[in-house]
Amino acid sequence: MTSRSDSMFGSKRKVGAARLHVSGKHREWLLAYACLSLWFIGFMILQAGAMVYSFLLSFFHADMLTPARFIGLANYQRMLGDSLFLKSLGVTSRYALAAVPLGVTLSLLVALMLNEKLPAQGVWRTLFYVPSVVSGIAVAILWGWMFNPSVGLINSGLAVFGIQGPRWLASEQWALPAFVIMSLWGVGGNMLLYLAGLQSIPTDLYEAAKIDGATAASRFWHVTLPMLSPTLFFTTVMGIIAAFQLFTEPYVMTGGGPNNATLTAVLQIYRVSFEQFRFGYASVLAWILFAIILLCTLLVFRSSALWVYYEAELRK
Amino acid sequence: MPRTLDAKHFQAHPSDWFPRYQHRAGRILLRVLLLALVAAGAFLFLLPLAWMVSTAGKAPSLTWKVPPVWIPPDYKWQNFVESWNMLPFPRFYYNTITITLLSVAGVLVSSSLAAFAFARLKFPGRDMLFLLVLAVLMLPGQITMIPVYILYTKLGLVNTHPSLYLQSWLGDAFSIFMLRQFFMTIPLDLDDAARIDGASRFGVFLRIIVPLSKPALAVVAIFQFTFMWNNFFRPLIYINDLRLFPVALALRLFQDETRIDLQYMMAQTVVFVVPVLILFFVAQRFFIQGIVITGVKG
Amino acid sequence: MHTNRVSRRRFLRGATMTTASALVAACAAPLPAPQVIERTVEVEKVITSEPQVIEKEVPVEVAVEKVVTATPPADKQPVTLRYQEKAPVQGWTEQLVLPVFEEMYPWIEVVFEPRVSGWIEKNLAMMAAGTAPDIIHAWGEVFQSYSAKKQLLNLTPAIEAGMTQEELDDQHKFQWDAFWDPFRQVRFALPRQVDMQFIYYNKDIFDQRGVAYPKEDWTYDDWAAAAQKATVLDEAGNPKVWGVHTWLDSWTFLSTHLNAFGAHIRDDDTWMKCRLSEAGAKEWFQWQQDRIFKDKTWLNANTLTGIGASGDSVGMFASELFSMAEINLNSIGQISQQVNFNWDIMHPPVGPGGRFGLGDNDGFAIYSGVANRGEAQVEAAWLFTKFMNGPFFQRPNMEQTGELPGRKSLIPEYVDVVKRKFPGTENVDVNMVIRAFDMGYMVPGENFRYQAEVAPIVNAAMQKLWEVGDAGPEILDQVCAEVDATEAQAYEADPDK
Repeated sequence: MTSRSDSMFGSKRKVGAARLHVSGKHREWLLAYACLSLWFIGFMILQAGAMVYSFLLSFFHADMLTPARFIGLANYQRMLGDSLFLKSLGVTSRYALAAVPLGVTLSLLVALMLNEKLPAQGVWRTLFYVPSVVSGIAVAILWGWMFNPSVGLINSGLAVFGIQGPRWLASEQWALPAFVIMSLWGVGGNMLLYLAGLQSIPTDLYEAAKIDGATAASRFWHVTLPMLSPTLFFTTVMGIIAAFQLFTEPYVMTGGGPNNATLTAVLQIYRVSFEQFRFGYASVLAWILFAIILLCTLLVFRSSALWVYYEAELRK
Repeated sequence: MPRTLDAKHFQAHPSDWFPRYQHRAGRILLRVLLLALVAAGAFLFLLPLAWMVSTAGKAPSLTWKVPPVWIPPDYKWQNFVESWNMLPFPRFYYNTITITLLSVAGVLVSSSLAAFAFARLKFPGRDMLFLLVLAVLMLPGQITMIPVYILYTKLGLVNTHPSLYLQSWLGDAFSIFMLRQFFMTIPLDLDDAARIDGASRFGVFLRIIVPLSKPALAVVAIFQFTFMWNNFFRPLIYINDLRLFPVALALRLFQDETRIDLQYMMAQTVVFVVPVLILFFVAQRFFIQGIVITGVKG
Repeated sequence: MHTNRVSRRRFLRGATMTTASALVAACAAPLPAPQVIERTVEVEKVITSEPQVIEKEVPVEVAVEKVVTATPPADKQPVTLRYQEKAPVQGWTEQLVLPVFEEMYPWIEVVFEPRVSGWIEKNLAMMAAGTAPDIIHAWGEVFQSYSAKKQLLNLTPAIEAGMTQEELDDQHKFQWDAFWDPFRQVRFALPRQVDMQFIYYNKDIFDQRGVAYPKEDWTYDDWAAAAQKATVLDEAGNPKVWGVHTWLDSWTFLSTHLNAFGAHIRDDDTWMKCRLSEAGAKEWFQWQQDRIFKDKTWLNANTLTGIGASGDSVGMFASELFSMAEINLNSIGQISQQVNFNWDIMHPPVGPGGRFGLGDNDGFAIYSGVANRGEAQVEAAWLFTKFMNGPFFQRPNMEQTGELPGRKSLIPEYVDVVKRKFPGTENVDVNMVIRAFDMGYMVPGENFRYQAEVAPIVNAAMQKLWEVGDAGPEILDQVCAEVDATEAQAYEADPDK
């Protein structure tokens, strides 16, 4: 994240009105805090308390139903030897590594295609959005059928090309790739974002580029992508945060299997907390996951100075 | 410098990418190819809806046939009527609509304000606070669910509708982040011009940022609408009284541990999904590459 | 969490538990000056403007032998009970059952709280907040987990004071045994309904394929042979109609199959020792795996639908995905309405270790937090629970849903009710149910003491055996070692043992 220098306002006001300069800055602070007040109230009341509570809980043996018992660092020690949780972290990381780039690029491609003038453009766009709004159980049943090793759509399609499809959800190697493929059905959401972003790119930039003799590919690379980069940044970060918390699909469809091949971190956390009633230990696991997500997010934030371009930063 | 521009001149065309096919036949060919690609993808994405519509009209003995029967020989339209009458759906829709609209309004107001602060204002702790906004999204909800529930119980808000949309009025991290990104793509010249004209900083927000962010605000509205419309988990935990159920939760009344009336559930799910799709269709018409001028409004 | 607050809460909880149980016992004594009236009540369908869940309703004649109406003593303060129950029964429960209760106990109002799929998490949240419903309907496994966390009231004192020997003898033994928590010596529920598993088979497919109908004394080998003949293959050699479907990744069905081979999941004393690696168990695992991969006659629907044990075996049976299926008896009504071929039922087959079938138990329990809601509330909750265990609920439930009543005396009426209510069963041998009760082969499922900790281990192994198929029963040695270690660890860490 780059920060805006305040020399812009400062320089204008230095001339002749030193008094205004100081109160101008403080007025800005006040306005900022006022704008953030709603969020801050919500955060303090609803979230901060729960987060602190869950962090404290990690030092207890707590099932939320009977009185909690202080056990110091025992939960943390246990976590170090928890091979199942470690495995779930591996599963989750592999999933995120595959699903996020694929999701971001595919939804961008779809958005670009649907940005072109086509007949019934609205209908196509709505259709791509359908899986994002359709109920989970319908999607689960459909995917279950599509991935069926013998009669499913995917393997039947592969058979046309003479390829023997894998056993997908019944195979330890292919179950996680199946979930990656399933995640691609959610491109409709990001597609919408990119469409909004594409719409706002000033057309005179394209005109200027055309006049300079740029090809379409070059215009894409030098105009579209940079102008879209704030949105890309958003979808990447949100994609990482969401991918690391994959839960519902493995829970409903494979129960984390086969043989824990699709045991995601949040699924394991859910089991430990809601099935085994060990909320203290689950808190440890959740905070570890939190740290990992935070780390990845910070990495992306750091890197953003290189590739994310904000119009508002034109002036330094 | 204001200019009159011809929209047609700047509509993107697939032939832009293949200069060799700039001639008329080539343009048509490429357009057709693109259309074919899009149609193929859309067909694939349409499958869940098609399956739902198809299942809604099936007799139970057809529901599980493998491979699925896409067009049942005797489409039971009465499933829609029967399932509608089985439960007080008008009441459920009233609940869903009020909760969703109140939530969307709340998110738009609270998140745009916060995003404005992060995007345009400079103040101590800005980066830290922004990270805090995001941090909330990074902690799995299972951990905080019960403490928050206990809090709501103590506040006496359990089994009330506000428990479902109150949080929307207190900022939504996803929307704040999204809007911040978008606000930061708006050039500062416009802000300056407005300030020179005497607008306060907040005036800049109201008169420059918000109007120019209509696409992003529309996206926030659509996302929040879709999310609240379909959200069943929060109502599941917080609502006990059947009369307060939103549709998303009520649909789960068609299943329990021993049986699931898939055809009724799908019939009502189809009905339930249609408003969201219509809303999306109507809203996306505003996302057409149009004329955007960077110059100052004259 | 301050330590002094923790210990004070612990003390209070213990105190109220004993007080509550004593209260319940005291209050279960007969009410003053009862009047016994004999009458028959006929109740017709009532349309109200309140929201209601309508099942296919039929005017029902509720034959009531005794309606005990008491003049409520002057000091009875009004009580409202929250009763959590599955949603589809709301309509007729509120029309046929609750009014009778409220007539008998006029100061008690019962509010029906429908539970929706996902209610287990919701109950946990409510229990953590202390706001769980007064009466909860669930089954053995769920109750055991609640009882382990002291969330259910011990009903023993109330039962001893308030239920007659006749009423106690009228309960099904396997269900009564299942509602006992041996580690905390708590009886946590009164029976609601029972269920059992039968093998449903598609007579039309059997006729087509020349398979003889199963006989009462059929064995697992007979079952395998019938499955072989009843499997229909497509051109590619893949099953189009499987021979048999059983829920192989469901824990509850594991134990009955193992029992039939003379094996068990765990020991009976501590519930902590894994017995899956014993010879008898391995024999069954091998038998089952061969049916899936060698014979290719067995379907585990998880590989077909992708949604595992929450799937719809009734719908799948009606869709003729398989010729035989292990389905619970209480679905007999639904099956008769959805199926359009000839079918029948048969007892589970006899294995090398005997014949065993799953005896599913549902019951009514009282949330222990009721103790904090006042003496009147505790008394009311007990009165309601006892009422629901009795014929005033059991008979309408049998009529409306075709579920097997939790009272032995009502079982003989069951066959007539099913035949009358579900015309699709006219050619089905429903009398088999009576025979099953006579043979008495129903057993509850076997859970470990720390079930949630070890279930993932065993489930992962099951997936390896049934879905992936790249390893045989030898993996169970490893499984048992892990399970034993996990159970020991959990026992060590358990503060409430």
